[in-house]
Amino acid sequence: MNLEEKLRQLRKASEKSSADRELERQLEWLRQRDQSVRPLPAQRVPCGIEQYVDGSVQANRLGEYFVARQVLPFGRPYGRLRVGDVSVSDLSALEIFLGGQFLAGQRGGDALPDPSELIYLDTETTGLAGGTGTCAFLIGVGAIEGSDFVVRQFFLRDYPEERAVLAALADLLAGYKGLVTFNGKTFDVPLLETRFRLARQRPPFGRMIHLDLLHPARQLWKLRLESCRLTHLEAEILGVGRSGDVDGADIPGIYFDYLRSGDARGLQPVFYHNALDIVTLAALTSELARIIRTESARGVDVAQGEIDAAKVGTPGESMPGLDLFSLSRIFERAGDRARAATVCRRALDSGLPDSLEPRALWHLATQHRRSGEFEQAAEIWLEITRRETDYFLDALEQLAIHAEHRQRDAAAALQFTERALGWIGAKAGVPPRDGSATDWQAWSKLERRRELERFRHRLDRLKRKTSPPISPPLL
Amino acid sequence: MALETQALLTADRPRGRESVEQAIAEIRDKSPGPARLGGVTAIHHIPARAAEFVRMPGDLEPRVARVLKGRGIRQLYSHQAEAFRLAREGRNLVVVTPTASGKTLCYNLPILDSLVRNPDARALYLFPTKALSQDQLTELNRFAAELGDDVRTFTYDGDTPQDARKSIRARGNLVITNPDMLHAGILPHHTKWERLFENLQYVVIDELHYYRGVLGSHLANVLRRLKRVARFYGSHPQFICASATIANPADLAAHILEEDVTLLDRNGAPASDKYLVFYNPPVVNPQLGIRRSYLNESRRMARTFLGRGLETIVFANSRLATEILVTYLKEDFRRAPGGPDLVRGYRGGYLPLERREIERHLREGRLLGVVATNALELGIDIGSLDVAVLAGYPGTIASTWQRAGRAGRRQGTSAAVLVASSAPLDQFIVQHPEYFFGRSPEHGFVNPDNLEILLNHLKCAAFELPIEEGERFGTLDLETLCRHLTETGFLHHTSGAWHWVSESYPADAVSLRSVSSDNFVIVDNTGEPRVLGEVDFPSALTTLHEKAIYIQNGEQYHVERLDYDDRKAYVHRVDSDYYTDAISYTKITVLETFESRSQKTEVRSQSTVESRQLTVDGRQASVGGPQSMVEEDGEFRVPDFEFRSTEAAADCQQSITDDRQPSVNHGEVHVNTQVVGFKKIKFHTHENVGAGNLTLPEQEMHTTAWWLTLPHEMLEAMPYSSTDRQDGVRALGNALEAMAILLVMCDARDLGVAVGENSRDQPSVSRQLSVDSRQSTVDSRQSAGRGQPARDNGPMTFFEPNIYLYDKYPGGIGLSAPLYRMSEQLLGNARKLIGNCGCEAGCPSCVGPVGEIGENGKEVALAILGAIGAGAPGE
Repeated sequence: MNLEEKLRQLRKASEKSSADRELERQLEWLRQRDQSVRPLPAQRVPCGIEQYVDGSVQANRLGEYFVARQVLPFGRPYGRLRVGDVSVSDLSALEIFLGGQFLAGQRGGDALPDPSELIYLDTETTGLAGGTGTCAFLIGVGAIEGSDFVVRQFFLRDYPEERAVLAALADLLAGYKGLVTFNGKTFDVPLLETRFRLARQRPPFGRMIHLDLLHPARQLWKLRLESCRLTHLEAEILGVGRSGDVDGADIPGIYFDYLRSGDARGLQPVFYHNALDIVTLAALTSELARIIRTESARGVDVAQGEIDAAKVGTPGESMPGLDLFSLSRIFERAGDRARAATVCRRALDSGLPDSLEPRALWHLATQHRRSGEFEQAAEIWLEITRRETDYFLDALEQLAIHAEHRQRDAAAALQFTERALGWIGAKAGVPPRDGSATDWQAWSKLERRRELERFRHRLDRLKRKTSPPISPPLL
Repeated sequence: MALETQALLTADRPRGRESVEQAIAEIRDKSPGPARLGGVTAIHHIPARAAEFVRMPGDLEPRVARVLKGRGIRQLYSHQAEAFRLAREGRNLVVVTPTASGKTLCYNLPILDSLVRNPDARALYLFPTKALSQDQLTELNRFAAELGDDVRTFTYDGDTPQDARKSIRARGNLVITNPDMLHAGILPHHTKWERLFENLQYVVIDELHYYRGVLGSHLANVLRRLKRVARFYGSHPQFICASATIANPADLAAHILEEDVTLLDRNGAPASDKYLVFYNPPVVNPQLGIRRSYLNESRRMARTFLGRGLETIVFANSRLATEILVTYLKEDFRRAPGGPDLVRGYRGGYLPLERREIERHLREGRLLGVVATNALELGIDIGSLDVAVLAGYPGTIASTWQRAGRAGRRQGTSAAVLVASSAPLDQFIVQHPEYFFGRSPEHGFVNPDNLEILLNHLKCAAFELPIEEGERFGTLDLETLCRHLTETGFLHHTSGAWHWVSESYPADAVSLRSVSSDNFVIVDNTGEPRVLGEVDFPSALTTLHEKAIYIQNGEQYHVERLDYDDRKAYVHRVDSDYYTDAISYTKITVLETFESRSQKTEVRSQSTVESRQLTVDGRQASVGGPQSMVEEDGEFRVPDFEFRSTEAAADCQQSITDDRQPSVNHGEVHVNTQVVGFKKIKFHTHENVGAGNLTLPEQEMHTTAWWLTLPHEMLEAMPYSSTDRQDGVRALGNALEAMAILLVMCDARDLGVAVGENSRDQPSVSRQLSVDSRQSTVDSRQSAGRGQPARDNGPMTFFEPNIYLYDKYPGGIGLSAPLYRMSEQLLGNARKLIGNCGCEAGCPSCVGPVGEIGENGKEVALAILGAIGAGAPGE
């Protein structure tokens, strides 16, 4: 090698290191500029998860993973309930929620499996962003085993354990027919499916019946409760008070800190939070089933005129009117008109806020109309027309239809129609249905014109019917 | 449509060669005096060329062949067949063909062929804009429908309804999207696109030349991520790109794809007989270098053609100019048969339905004239017209050809007329037609390893799949980068891989289009507070500082408060007779010189290494040297300076020691900018009517720069005062900037110019005051120089000036090294630009107005270029 070549090599080598130095320098500069970066926790002596959470390291064909196991005996109280209620309760009432929209990806088979064949699932994740970069680092599942409710929590001590955890989860899920989650259709299941695909494993959810409790809970309690978040339902519906819980928004950060420091201390409340969510999910499921079962039994009894509170075994006070109205809507959607009507009547009897009463009456009348009980419906429409509410015009229209086509009383129909037209003319300032003042102008232009035309059309026809044919036109 | 119109459009319409040629003759005959003063500077005739047909390839899938036959296509242009053959061989391709040459079939043919053969195969098409995607979809759907159920094309972009997305992901085997959607919507959710990625055979990138600079650097990284994800699913897609004519299509493709690429630039499509005419509006004020309005001249041109019943498209460079021209032309046709409805406008902001209608009417020949922005430049099918009038140079040669390509009949003759504005680029092009018609000088450059861009995409990549040790992602050391992202809390290193550990969705933080996602929101407090718009960070400091007059849609707003921390500016509607121009202070520090060479004819053969060595030695030799020398206004004029031959000049330089030679360099610099004040400038008269001081935070960035060092000795030997020399240096800077933009085909916002002191110490620190005049348009540039702060604050003496052209993007977007390689061309072009400009002492078309560069700035700039032996003076 001649000198020139040596020098060139030397230069090359020094250039490379200078490029590296340059890269380091630029990165340092970027570090200083990006002040948003969270400071790293001080490096501490690693304190593994085993020291804080009761569980053990297991292994399968894909490696080791950590699983925490908690056994809750049936006798243990849980708020107003007992853990054992989960196993004895008859969940078949929940099948009302397994119609089309609740059974994503399922065909037929709308029978909910036996409580012992259900598994309750909830995950703790590294964020809410979704996509491939969000990971479920703690997957909790709960199920009945003998006379206990057992919660298992699969935990990633580090990312490489994910493959083993997912395989273990899939193995466990294989023993169950039904999956119960809270918002799992939108969040937990798609997220886990992504994780399974990334780990090149088959997602185990396809063959399971999936009940996402978020939607039933919302349908039943949305009117009464300000929030339908799980912890809120837990306090309001189950009467469980949590202490030492962690804010969900802090959870990803706690896990990241653990990954960097190896210190699992901060994770203890996360395990607690997740385990409680699962027990609550199970308890809420059985409570929801009990409410619907009880109320549907009562509903039928009312319809048959055999009210016997002792027979249905009401635990404590009766249901709030708002919930009853929500429940009647659930029955209505499920096509159970008889129950929808009785529960709605009970909701009205137990007293509803003024804003809701006309709506409940309207729905009640609709149930009667659909069941062919026109006289009952007409009575309710009449009741609605005593006050000038949102359903005033609709009720008058229904009354006019009823009089004209069923009672063959054109004069009465004409009366209702004229009343409606008079009202439209006089009450130009009535706000639209949603109550917002700004929409009024638009409504008054479009909606009102449409209603006007509808009633005018009816008026013309009725006048033709009621007037002798030789009379000159009145208008 | 009125009867008269029908008549004008059909019977009375003199069609073809004669009337186009008559119109051109009329324009030429009315053209005044010598070229630099105005008139027609070039008439370029492109004779008709017959198509080069070849037989349909024998291995083309019979069903595809049948569909083509059904559409009347029985043979292919030679380049289409060649593209098919190369694609079938598995090569990555870049196809370069002019407008209307059957470009889309070059990629559609091999892809449809393989989709029909293999029902599982998938293809992904990337178009730079949504409008183009839509146009392609219509075309492809027609094709696909005839092929039966085998080809299922879908567009997937921001407008795709949520409920349709799932079925597209599962069923679509030809998915049309854009880089932004791929970046933020598809790659981060790749598990949902399992079917696509498992079977991804082809990726098409149309309008490749569009992806240069920042956008191209982003795209290269998005493709790195795409390939990574495809690899995860076991596929290795093949790429087919299409590009307009630029100097380095294969090179650009190779840098974006980071794969071997085969260039296909033989074109077998027929060309029609065509004239390209360059027209420079005549000078009306030689002192100030003011020309007749290019808009008025464009109107006159359009009228000449329209009046002969020739279908004409007029391209304008802004929405405003479009509307002005439509108004003018409608006015011209108010009394004509057919009336003003014969001419319509077309630009972004029109409703889609209206745009579709105009496109249809153009195709059907129901419109005589249309005035459009670049919205009609790319791909959209409007058929062919007789004449294209380009009101102002479109900015790049590629784009000029694309617009000119809108005119061209299979039969007969067509014409395109370029009417130059007074901007330096326009003037250079119109006065140097040979430059335009020669081999394309325009290069597309990208810098995928720009640290900031790379780091952002590395985050996205880690979000998509953990980064394994030993993986490659760009050319920089991946481990160092991942360690950095680990320390800053984004990644976690474990068992040989880096995992994403952040709650955020990194793709949301990266916009491929804007330089920075850090925008300022403008809040209008005139009535109810409302958001007026957003301005990107760098522009915000110069246009939204307190007391600035911010102009949007022609409305003026006074900036009352700039909330720097919350990135908000509060404004109030006003009616002002002045606008404001920010004064910024730029300090450039050279961090490292990558390459350097003497700018001297005799030493050009020296190797880079040697000249570098000399430079380093020179620096050492001169430490503590003559820096303290105070420059005197040298009045010793050398009488024959202007006439000195090149050799004589070289001899003179030879006597100077090597380190005192002028040199061109490129390397790493640190740029500090601070907006320190502003001026109020009256509309129309451009008088300076006031000023104010500002204290805005200083902005810092590391970037790359090209610079020219002019040795003290050389300047001092010139017969000018020190003020003149400074003016000349600044004037030269302006001209170099304009020419650099031409060569590297970048946006004017991407390149900054600054003049500073060259210190022979390392690192060298240069300071200067410059006016950031790029507030909006050429107009503000014209006014910018008045009351140049350097003059206001007394003369600054440059011991030895550096003229910097720096990438205005942190880390650089790869413009400096190419500029260094093209230094000769850059300096030569600047010399041509200045030398051939008709103005007396500087104008906005060359070195800037006299008010900015002084009485002798232009002369000195030319003298400097002569002294450093830049190119040959213009003819």
